Amino acid sequence: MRLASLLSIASLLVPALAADAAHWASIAASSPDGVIPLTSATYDEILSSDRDYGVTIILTALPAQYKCQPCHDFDPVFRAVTKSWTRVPRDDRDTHFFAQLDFQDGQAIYQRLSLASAPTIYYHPPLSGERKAENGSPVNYDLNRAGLGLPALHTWVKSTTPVAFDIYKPMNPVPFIVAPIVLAGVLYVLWSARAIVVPIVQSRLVWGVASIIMCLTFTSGFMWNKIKNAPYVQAGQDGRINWIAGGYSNQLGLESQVVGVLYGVLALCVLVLSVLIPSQGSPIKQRVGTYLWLGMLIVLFSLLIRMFRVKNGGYPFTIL
Amino acid sequence: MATPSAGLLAAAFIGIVPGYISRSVAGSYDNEAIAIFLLMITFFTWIKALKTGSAFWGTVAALFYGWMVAAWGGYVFITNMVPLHVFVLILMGRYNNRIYVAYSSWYVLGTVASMQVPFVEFLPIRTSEGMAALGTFGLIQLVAFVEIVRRLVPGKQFQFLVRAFVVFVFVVSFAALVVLTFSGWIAPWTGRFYSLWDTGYAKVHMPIIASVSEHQPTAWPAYFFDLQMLIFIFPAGVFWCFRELRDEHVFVIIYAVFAAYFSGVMVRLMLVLTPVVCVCAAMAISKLLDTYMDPVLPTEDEDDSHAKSKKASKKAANKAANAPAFEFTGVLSGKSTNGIFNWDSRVAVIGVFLFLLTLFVHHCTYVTQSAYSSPSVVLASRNQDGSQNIIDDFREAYYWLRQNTEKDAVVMSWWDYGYQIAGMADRATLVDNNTWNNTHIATVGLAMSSNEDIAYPILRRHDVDYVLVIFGGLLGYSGDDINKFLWMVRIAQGEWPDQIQEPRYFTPRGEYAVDDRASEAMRNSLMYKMCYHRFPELYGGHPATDRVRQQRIPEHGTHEHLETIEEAFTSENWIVRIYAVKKEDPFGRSLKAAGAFERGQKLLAAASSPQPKQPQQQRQGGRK
Repeated sequence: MRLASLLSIASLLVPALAADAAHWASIAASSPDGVIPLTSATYDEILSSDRDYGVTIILTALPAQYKCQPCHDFDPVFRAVTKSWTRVPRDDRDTHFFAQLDFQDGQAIYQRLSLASAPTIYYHPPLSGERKAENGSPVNYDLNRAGLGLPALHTWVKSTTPVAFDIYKPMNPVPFIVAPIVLAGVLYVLWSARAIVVPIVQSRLVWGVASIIMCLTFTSGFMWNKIKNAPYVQAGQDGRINWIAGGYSNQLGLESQVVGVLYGVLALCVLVLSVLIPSQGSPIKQRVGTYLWLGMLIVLFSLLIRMFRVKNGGYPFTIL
Repeated sequence: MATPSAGLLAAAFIGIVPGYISRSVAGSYDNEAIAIFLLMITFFTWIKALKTGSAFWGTVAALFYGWMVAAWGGYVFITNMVPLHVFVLILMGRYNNRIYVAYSSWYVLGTVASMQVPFVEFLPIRTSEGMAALGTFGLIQLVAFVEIVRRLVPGKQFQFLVRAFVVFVFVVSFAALVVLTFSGWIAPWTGRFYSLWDTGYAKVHMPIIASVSEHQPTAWPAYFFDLQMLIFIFPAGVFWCFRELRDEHVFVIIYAVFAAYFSGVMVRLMLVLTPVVCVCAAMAISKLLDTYMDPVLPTEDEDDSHAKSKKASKKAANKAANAPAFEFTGVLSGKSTNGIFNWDSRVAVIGVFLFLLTLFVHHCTYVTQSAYSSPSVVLASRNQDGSQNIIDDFREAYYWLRQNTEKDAVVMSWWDYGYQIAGMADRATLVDNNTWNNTHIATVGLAMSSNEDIAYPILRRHDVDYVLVIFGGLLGYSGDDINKFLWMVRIAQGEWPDQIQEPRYFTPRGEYAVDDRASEAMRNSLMYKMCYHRFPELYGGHPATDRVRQQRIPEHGTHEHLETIEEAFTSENWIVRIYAVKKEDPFGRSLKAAGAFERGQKLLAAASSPQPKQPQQQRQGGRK
């Protein structure tokens, strides 16, 4: 540590600016992901006012005691970008650095920047040299708006670095080996079990049930839940668990499932009334069955309308 | 496909169902009203062609398909539904000459017809959307060839060889398709349709899709609101299709499943689901009513035990018949039905369903009345005493445009109003509701969201004479351009990320403000200036409050002076504001310098004779 700071002081004394960049370049090269670890002291050094290189600094809080979940979620994303930067040719690579200041090592900086949340990313453009920025003030990457995703961060970083670069993804050979084996295995199993598989594939019942279930799930708002990431249930104001979301264009997971089941049972009522009841042999049973299923249809339908009235207050109709 | 009574019922349903009324009601200004009719008639003629095997009906289907292509971008639904139907039929082993004739005539003529549309041209053979149709066309030729060979050359070994040949060609052409797609010969799925599969795609890459509220996914109340009881009778209808399962039933089933999925992803596609829901529900209800209205009384079984034994024997027989074949058919196999014994249960069921149908009619009337009848160009509000207040600013402004501008004047506005301006004001617009050309819309977004210096060259380059904005701040009309403004910024950012950045339109604290806190980019944007130009004057020194955003507009600011445009017309309630784009200064000064000079002069002259400026006169004219 002391040696490093001595080194950096020594490098500051040297008038040549390239030496300064070379110093950070050697630190970056020695770190596995090309990220320079900073402290309060080195933070100011790397941001010296005569820097001819750009720096992207992430202010984070990784140690467990700070309980910063986004920091941990974002760390691999950030490192994926920095690691890709290390594959850029040397001449370009040494004009832009990535650094990381942990809260543990840089509380003074956090206070000075009056930062209340982590992670935060700033890009500090070069202040001298041929790439000198007109507006030298640091640029903040808006994590709240852009989210923790890799493509957004990559796009932003790419716009600040001297040369564009692609995300490096190490080639994973496993899927290329496993996929054909699995495929062959599945085909073999299907072929050997064709006595069972073929009737299932050709079965009207299987396809029919599958189609009807698909219709029911889609018409009960399944895609809405999936796209909007709806919670399954919601805690109400008085601590009770709500399963119906307020508002016409809003819903909860359980709510849409209940609606789907209601639709299904109602469709079943209609079908039983038109298929099973008429094929009933005895008049007494048929009469009982008719009233039973008809009653169920009416009760469930009125329940559905009640649910709809909860969602849409002005709806004027009810059955029961 | 089913009985005529089911057809009658389906016609009655589609006539009143709110899901379709929403687009076909008079005053709804969109091409979808005609498009759904074309969709239906194309499908109808396709089924007809398939059943009769006549090239005539295939041609008719192709012609309607061509019309559909000209009318609506949703034609891709047909382009993929029909080949999928044929493909499924081939897989089911139902290939016959009728299918061949119908599909070949439809595909060839329909593709040629669709190529006549300027937007489409070679898309059917150059994009992935058209590949399913082309591939199926190839497949059906192959299958037809193999069928002929099979008829002429007997021999089991040879037939197996021929079948393997079909599968081989299929696989090879599929691989070729993949290679062509990756090498760029065939464009992959356009984002618009890709977003139907990968639902997160539009949010990231296509702000123009995400900007439309109708492109949001559908929550369940919307289904119930638009279709009411049909939505749960619909699966029962699908059941009946499976029970009969002729070729046309296969079509209805495929249509039902896909339309259910699409409508779940996008509210707008509820429109595509509605017809099939009506058809299926009508089938189910007519089956039910037929059963209970059938005057023939069934013969009663003598006694229970006998019935039981009979049933048991029947069951045993069924089992015996089914066991070796190991079939999954169950209720779908079509058991014989007896009928209804008792009059009271007949009356009860028919009565209940008549009641439900009446309720459905009332529901439709209520929904149509409350949600879908007010045309979007006329706003209606209720006063406190219950009387209706009609806000007719749109028509007022469009008529002003029609009567006071040159015939060849070009109007720039956000695309939402494009069709309205074209139809009601009879003037050319820069962009309209046809949103295929994203770049063009982004250009308008760029002009609206940048400052006058940047916007003016854009306006002049596109020969814009008038700029129209919708401003709801005076009345509290929330669907105005300031509320849509962020989408203009986002869409412009998609094309020119170095010129427009969305965060710059927010305050440092991340608020969307139009008052004193408004960010610099916001205050200098053409949109902001046009909306709030002279707005504080209206309040005569009192705080000028924007009633939509409940924020106070500063009296002095960027909106005070417009350099490159001038106010031409403002409607009664300020909803529509039209600005005329100034021509270049005759003395060759920049418009900014000219404006400053003008103002200086006016200040001197104002002491002696206050002369009303041109825009004021016109505005008063417009208010009469």
